[in-house]
Amino acid sequence: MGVTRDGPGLRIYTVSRYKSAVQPKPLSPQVFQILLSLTDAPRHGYAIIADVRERTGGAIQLTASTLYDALARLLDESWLKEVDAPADAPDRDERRRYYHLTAAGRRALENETSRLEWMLSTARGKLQPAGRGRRGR
Amino acid sequence: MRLYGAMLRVLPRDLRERHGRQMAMLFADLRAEARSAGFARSVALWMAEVAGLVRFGMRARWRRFAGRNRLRASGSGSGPGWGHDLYWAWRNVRARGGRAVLIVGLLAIALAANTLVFAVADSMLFRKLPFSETERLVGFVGQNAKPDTPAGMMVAAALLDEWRRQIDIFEGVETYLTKTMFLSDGGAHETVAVADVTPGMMSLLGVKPRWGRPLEVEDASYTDAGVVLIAESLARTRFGAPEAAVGQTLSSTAGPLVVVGVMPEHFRFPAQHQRIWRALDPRGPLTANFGGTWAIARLREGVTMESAAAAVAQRSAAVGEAAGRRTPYAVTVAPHGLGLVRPGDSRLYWLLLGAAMCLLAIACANVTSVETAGAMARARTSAVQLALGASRSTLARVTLLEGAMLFGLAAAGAVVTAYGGMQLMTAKLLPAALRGRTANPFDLDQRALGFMVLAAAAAWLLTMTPIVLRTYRVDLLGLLKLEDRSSAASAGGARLRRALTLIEVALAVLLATSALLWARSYGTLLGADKGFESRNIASITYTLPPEFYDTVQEKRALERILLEKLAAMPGVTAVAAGSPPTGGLERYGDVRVLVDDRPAAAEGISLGLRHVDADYFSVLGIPLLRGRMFSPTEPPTNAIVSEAFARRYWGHADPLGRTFRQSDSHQVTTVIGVAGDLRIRPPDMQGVPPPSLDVYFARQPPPPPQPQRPGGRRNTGGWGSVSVMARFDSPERVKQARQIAVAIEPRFEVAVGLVDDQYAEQFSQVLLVTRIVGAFGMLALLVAMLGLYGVLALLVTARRREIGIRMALGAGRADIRRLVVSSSFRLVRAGAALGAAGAVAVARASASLLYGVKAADPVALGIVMLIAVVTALLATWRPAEQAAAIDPSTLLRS
Repeated sequence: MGVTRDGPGLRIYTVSRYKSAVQPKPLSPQVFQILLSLTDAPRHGYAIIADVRERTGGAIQLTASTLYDALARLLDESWLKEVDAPADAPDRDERRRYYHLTAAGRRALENETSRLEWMLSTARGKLQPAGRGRRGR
Repeated sequence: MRLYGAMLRVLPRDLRERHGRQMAMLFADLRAEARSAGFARSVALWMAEVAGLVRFGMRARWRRFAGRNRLRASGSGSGPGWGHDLYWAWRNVRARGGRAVLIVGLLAIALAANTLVFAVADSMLFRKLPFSETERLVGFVGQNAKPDTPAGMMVAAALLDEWRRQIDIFEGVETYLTKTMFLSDGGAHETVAVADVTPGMMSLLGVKPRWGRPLEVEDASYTDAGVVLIAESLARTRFGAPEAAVGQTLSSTAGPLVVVGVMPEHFRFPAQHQRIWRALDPRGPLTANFGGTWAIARLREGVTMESAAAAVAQRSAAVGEAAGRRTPYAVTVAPHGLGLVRPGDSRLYWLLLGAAMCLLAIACANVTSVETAGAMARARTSAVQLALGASRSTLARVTLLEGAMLFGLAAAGAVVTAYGGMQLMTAKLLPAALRGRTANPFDLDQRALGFMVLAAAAAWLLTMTPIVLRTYRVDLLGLLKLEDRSSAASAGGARLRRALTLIEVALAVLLATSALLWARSYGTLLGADKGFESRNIASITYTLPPEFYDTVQEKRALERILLEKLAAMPGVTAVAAGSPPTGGLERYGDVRVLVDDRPAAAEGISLGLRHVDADYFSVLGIPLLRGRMFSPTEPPTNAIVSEAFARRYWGHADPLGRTFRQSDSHQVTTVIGVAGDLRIRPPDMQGVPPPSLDVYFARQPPPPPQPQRPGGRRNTGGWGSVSVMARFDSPERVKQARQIAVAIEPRFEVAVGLVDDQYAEQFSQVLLVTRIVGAFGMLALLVAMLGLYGVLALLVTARRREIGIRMALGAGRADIRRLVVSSSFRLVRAGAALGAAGAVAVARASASLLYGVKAADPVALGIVMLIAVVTALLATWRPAEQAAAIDPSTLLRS
């Protein structure tokens, strides 16, 4: 992996070994969206699905199995943890379990966001005529 | 929601327990939502959910499997996974050394035997014929034929046309003839079996050539060349590649053959060996010399076998009349004889499968026994492993894995063995008469291999269960406290091993007794009185293509030369023209005889018509019981009949001078003599062959030569043969006779064989069973001997201390030997009794296949008991000596 002069991805992407240790793979869109919907408050399964659907305009449709496939892995990685229903939750339901983003989860989300930004910037630099893109920024 | 709950079972248990309820709740919400959006959304949701669940389950399992291995590789794992278990299992298997080789070899042989027998039985019995909807393929059969007569009668061209008109019953009626042909390749001739088929045959059967085109109606009308489909193998040997064969010409003694298509390799019709299928016109020259062609019909869809049989039976008289038949025609239809199994056959193959299963069971019992001993020896290791925190389930898993490895290796070995065995089987063991009975190939296909895998898996479970159970029950404290390892072995393990050895001995005795019964049955068959002096008589038969030997004169000339040369050969005591009694019948099946012009008997008979010279009787030693022998100028209306024929139609009255005729012929025959009966058909259950009904006519001098047909193709496809019998002073002369015959006519095939061998060929099934069961029986005895030896050796080791004490208290070496021998004989006695009882039961069940021996045959049982005793002594000898060699002073001091 070559060295990029600028861009926020530098910290991770200059050392490929380090990369694989910190963030093994780019996150799938589903996982990214799930993490994203848990940033502000803990949510239960149905709330996550509803939130993701709303935010992506229906582009990402999760079902029970796809959601829990992802949740099980995220719990294993300790990016999420299970919590009881918070007292202030809008649609509080005692039977349901809520999922809370841990610090590690938040870091992973930030890393992924940085990676996406870096990807975006390199792509923009290539696709737009030189100069104009930079001026645009 | 119950359905969803069931679907959740695709997830690993812990995930299901952790998330299952949440997922179910979530899915209920989503479903309610989708339901309000319409039916299509509901369906889409369910489909997405099923796919997602399967993916979830598979991924979770895979992550776990891979994760364990990763942990082990990095050395940081706490709970070892499958990779670890595999590693240990493999180490344990390797630690077995020679024993592992023995186990694998034994299992491989047993599995291969099962696979081979299954493959043959599958081809004969279980597999459907490789044609489409074979249950709608029917053949014609006489209305008064015996129930197990294979369907498939000859029909003349006029009858064929009439049957083809019955379109409400038949979708199509096609016919064939089988012939042999010489393909000429420069100077050499290669014989190839040919089927002449009407062009619609392939589509009737539902098959197509893989390369080129099918036969078409016009193909049958060419007279200067034959239009043929050929087999893939023939295309490869002749033209290199099947696609290159299309459009090429083969030259044969029957004229050029134009190849229009190539049939795939697995295609067989009507029997195993046909390689060329030539377009046939039922009215054309290819059917000359034949009474008609063999018919196969396909029932119209929706027409049942019963209704078709009734309709055909009802119409047959009218059909016969419309076709211009002068004699009554009464036929019906039955499932076609192609590959139809005769009732006795299926029992035969079940018997063989049973024998193979017995062998596998013995092998399994032996492996369990050996493995139990191994597990005993490793019991302390297991105890230490348990003490160090390994779980019992891990130990059991490793044990199962070891078994899986052994059986996997055995299965791999079995594939190789079975492949080799199949070559041997088809080339040598399987009698040709049996091979011709099915259109299925004999091969190790997926079904046979699948069967083997199933058998191996079943055997694996059966074998390993007792061992795994023992592993589970390992008594940790007891084992660690034990001073003497052998006391551990003397507990339940020894009892299990004794029981297993008992089973082995019983099964071995069962197999050996059955083999002996079959061998004795075969002996009875061969030794039966055939009604003529068959020893050292050989028949020499040329098969001659009509292009070279068309007229009777030509054939008689060849016959005369052969007779002269043979008579001049040293060691030949007599020669005569004529075909052997065991073959060459000129008329058989469903013949009716009108005696003294009374109406024909209701029942048709099998009649052997033979055209012979007077010396035929003296050469074969057939006695003339009454009347006179043929004179040199005997008219063709006089005949000598067999005694059974005379008794059947005239009882005790004098048959000489009486007359008879066959119902479909107008020639009246007068009886001038009565000859002794030939008994060449398989004997009945008492070992007595039934007499055949024979009529001998005097051979007539050849008619004056007829002028050659100008321009016409001489090839009619009909085959001539010249057959001569000779009596030798020893069977070794047969080779010389063959050389003489080949020297006279080197171009064409000549079959030289002893009549006794030809007679024996009828019983090839019995021989096959004798050989297979015999081989299994011997192997089983060997394995049982090994098992017995193992148990006795263990017994001696376990009782060393006891033996030492006995000897110290004054027991002599002979007493110690007796101790070992008596415990061996207790086992063998019980096993042999069980096995013998089983053998009698099996023989009772297969009594209809056994000739001339009783189920409880004292000779066979006696021989097997003797073998069992000898085997037991062989197995006991070394352990007994070891026991006797124990030195009490050193043993008790240690």
